[in-house]
Amino acid sequence: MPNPEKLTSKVETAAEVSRETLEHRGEKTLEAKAQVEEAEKAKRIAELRAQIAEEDAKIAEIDAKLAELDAKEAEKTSETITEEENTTGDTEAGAENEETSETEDDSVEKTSEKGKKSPGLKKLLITATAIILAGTLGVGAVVAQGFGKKKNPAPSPNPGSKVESVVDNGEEAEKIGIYDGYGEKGMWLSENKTGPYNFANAAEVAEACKNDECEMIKYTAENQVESFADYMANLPEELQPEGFKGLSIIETERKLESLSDEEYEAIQKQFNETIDNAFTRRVVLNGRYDNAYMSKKDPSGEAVHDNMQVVRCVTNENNLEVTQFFWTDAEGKEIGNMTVKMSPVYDENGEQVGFRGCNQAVNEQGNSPIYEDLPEVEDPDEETPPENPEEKPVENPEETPKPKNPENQQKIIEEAPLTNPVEQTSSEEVERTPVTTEPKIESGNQETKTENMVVDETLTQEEQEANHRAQVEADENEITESAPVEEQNELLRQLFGNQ
Amino acid sequence: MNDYLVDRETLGQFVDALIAQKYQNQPDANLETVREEAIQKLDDQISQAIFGSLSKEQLAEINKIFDQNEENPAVFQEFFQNANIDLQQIISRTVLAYKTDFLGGENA
Repeated sequence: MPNPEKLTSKVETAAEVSRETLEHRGEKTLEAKAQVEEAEKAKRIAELRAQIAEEDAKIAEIDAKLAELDAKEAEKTSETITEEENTTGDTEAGAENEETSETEDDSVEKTSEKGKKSPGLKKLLITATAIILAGTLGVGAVVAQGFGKKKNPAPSPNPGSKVESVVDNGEEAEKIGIYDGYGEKGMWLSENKTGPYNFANAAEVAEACKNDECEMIKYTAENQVESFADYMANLPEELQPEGFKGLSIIETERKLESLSDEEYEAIQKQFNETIDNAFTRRVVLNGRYDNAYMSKKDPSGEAVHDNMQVVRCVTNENNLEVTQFFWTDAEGKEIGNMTVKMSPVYDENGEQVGFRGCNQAVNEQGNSPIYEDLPEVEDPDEETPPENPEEKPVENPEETPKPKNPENQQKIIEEAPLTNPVEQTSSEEVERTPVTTEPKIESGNQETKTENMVVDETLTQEEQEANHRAQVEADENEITESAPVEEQNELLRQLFGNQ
Repeated sequence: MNDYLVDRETLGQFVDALIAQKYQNQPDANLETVREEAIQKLDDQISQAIFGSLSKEQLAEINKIFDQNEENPAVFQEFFQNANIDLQQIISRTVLAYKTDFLGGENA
């Protein structure tokens, strides 16, 4: 017999199953439904994704185009930037360079200022610039304007007229035959000299140089290496060029002659500048003085450079008014001087009208070593002894009166010692600074071994030189070399008397 | 002493020649100022050209020589040779440029 409980349980189970089945079926419907929905969703999603992809593609295309545009823009920008950068870079670099340049300029400026105070560099540049400047002007211009022919004219307020004066001087000098064209580095300026050994005729040189004493020195030196050497050796040592300090005249001449043309010109320019910086004053010479003269080596030979030599000659001066060049330091203290036989010539009113003399530098006899090793000649002008050798010379040239008759004075001084120096010389004129008194030698020394030698002015120079040589030989036979000057003079007085 | 690197006399003669060329139709013109300025300018230009061609090291070196108050031109000649500086060329160019500038080109 069925167990009711079991039946109930079975029924219940069946119901349960049925319910479950129904539920299961419902679930399946729902599930299908959901699947459809899901499919639709998927489809929709796919469509959207496709749409998105399409949009993305479009965007990508746009992006590409934009990228292309960007690229182009970037390129342009890049170029612009590069340009800008370049510009900016230049500016920055320029600024940096400017800074550097300023720094360098400062340094260049400083160096330049130092350079302007450097004697060594300035000397080096003298030659280089002189040649270049002359060359830059062109040969025609140089010649036409006298460049290099007449150096360093006096400062002029009008440069136009300054150039003209240079032209005039150079042309004038040639016109009147001051420079006679013997050429080379040294020669007599002219045959028309006042004595056979004279450097020059100061009157002619003065005419060429318009009575400017500095110009006269430069001009004489420029055209005669012998006189150039004389002046150089006579400069205060502080002013002598490097390599020329303390040299004798003959050493100076040899050195000058050994220089190249460029070096020679450089030294000459330095010398000219030194002369331009000189002051001048009048001094009076009394007593015996060493001179450097010029002489032919072979008296019968021609007056050409190779036949010329510097010689030493002792002259007797009696109240001879000459020019003394002197130099001062920055404080105005005199550092040295050079006395040159340029004697002023006065007109009847006492006004200076020119110069006379031989342009040699002079020194008290025996006081200067610069005359060492020079052959000696006798003074051809010393033919007449002073009539009153014991007469004391004028002590102060400022106090000496001007000559009443300058022509007489000139003649007397040229041809014979003064009988009364006080009456016949003067040196009131002082340029730039007061006159100082030139050292004097006792007038007793005016009597010399040659004072009685007569010079015949009709004789040629060669004949006069031959006579002088004979005279020297005669003197040497009579006087021992070791005899002091006074003793020699006494012997000469005994030999020749006071003729 | 003057404040010129180059010999003032030489510069003055050169400038005078240029002035005479440039102002030949104005003989009465007062050219003193022109002259002085021209000399100074030319000297400055030469100076700048010379020292401007030197390196810093070379400037320092030449300053040392200046400080020693060297008077021997050979020392400076050697310095510029060692520095490969052609002084004549530098000066020539500067002077030529100056001349051209001063005369205004056509007359240079």
